[in-house]
Amino acid sequence: MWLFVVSDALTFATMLVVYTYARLANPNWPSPFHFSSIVQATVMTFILLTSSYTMARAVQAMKANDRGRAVRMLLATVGFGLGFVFLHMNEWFHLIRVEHVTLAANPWNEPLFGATFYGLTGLHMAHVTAGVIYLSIVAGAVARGKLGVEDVETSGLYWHFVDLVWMFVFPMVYLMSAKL
Amino acid sequence: MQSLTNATITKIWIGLLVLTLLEVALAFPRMSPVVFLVVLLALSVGKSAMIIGWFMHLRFEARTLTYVLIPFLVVCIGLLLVFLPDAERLRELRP
Repeated sequence: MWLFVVSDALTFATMLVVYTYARLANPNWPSPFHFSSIVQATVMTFILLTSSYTMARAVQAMKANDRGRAVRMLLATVGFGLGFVFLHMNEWFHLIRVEHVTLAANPWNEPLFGATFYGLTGLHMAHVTAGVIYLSIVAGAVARGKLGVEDVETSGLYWHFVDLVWMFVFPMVYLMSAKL
Repeated sequence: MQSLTNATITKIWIGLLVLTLLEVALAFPRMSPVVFLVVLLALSVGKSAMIIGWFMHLRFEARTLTYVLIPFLVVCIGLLLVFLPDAERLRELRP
């Protein structure tokens, strides 16, 4: 899992550098994230950080051989993950319907904005969705008495990595393009 | 070897929330994009170190794992960052 995390980190690092390059090279880079968008993105960040907290507690519960608590913590992590995806989809729909930002066009005539924004956040959202499915399966298996501490710890590594990526996406994408 | 406790996990979580609030607060005063980018990157690296060290447990693993993974990652990301100053050049080339 560590090797996967490192290789995936390089994929996200490349996408973040591309986004930041485009952002710095264009003096007219759009700032579509108003106060409400920043508040929503901050709540999303808090949700993801809290999901990492419950994931770490799930691993601790497994180490203490408390499977019931581990399952509850894993399900809480899944719930936070779903909440994050819901809020993120809400943000996307707002950008598409209200701000008219699509993959190739937007009202500010900076087509790279939509391509880089949806590419980066879409890849992250796909990772969160995959993580929600992965953790649901792990929670089910732990509840049935299958899987051990190492398995839950490995799934935790993936989930914390998804959280880690967002710690760069949130400031680089949202805060750097905030209109406050 | 020192092990992770629930109290430590809670402290790390609160620390991460506080650093996130600090990032958001820094978005209000108008800074130049380059200065703001550097400040945000520094805070993000700090938050990452907390997540990798405690939540991902790297601090409590064998040191060899850290020595194998982190320098490799830092060098590769450093090589990617080499291109960023070129963005400033492009900006100045614009009519």
